[in-house]
Amino acid sequence: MMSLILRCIGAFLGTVGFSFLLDAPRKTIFPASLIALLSYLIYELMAVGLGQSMIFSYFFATVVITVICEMVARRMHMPTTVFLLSAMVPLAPGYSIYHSMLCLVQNNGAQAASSGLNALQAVGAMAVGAAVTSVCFRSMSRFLSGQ
Amino acid sequence: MMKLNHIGEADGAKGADALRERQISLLCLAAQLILENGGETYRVEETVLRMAAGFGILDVNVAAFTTSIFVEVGGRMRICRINRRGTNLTRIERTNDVSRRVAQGQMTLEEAEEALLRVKRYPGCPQRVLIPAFALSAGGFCLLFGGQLDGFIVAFIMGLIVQMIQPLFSKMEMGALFGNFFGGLISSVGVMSVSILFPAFTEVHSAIVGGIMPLLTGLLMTTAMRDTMYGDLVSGMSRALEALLLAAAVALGVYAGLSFIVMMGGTMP
Repeated sequence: MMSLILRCIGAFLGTVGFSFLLDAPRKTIFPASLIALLSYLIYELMAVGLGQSMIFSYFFATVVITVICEMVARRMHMPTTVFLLSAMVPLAPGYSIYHSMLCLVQNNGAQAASSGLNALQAVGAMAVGAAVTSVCFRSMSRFLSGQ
Repeated sequence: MMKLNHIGEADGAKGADALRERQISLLCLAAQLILENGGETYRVEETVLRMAAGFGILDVNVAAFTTSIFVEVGGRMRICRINRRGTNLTRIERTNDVSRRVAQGQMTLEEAEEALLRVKRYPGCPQRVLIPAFALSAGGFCLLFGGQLDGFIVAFIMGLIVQMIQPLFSKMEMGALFGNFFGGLISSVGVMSVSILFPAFTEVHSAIVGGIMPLLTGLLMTTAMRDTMYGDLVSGMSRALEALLLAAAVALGVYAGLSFIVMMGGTMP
């Protein structure tokens, strides 16, 4: 439990710092980091708490945060990307890609392939989650406003 | 009388030509700003179409790739090369704002030109903000990967140093690659030195990963995948390749650092 709290703090602080590196507009940094923290919590809950598969956990967490990001972005009149990019920071599989490359450098092909595949799975699940959700959201809001 | 009229017409045509030229330049500039600062490819094309509609131009064609943009309006063609790629959400947000205003007719051509040039001149976060931000991010990622408080502190310090050296590479050719390589090198050598000097410090792994995490390109990879899904296959693949290359540079740096420590008589973690 203690370590989960520590990791959540890490996800939050890491995203705050990273948002500055991405030069996110100042007023978006705090909400985006909170969403990032939520995304990590949901992922942990799904993957560890409920024992779901990795892909489904990534997918579900991304769907939830994309919906929140779309709503917050609309409320603050900003493009969704501004929130979504920051919010996906703790989930983005930078580590797996790096680990795969490190294993390649160390001439450990099997590990490299497995890490690389891991990264690909995560990236695919997140991309599908984000894209499907925003397409649904867009056509829904067009439907509601156009009626 | 006839003559005067004729001249007047020619002037009018020339004026319309000049106006069209300026509009195309503006569309190109907006597209360039979004692409250079990490916007998705479909967003670029959407923005150009939206702004063109605001000017009353409907016969516009646009094709955007990660390295170049093609804009065509009524037989006039403009090609723009993209050399610099990074992520700057403030620039994207402001460009998006300008394009929305143009589309709704709240902004004239002159105002839009000026606003976009201001976005282009916007220097981004100064180094005195970036250094602590990178360090905070490094520390946070160290916690995320299972570090404790001492790991946080070590990763924080490594983050300070890694970001401090980044401006050395930003003007260089292949600057991002070198920056990532030396970032990995410094992070691994630094963390290993700390663990040799203080044997009680055991969170080598999470501290190294924390120190390099802000350099890594997981986000680029998700953008690449999204581009691919929206049908921008070329942009998606090139972005994915870029992400892999940058991660490889970091990994090489870390490995070089670890090998150096082993050569000096340390042990591989």
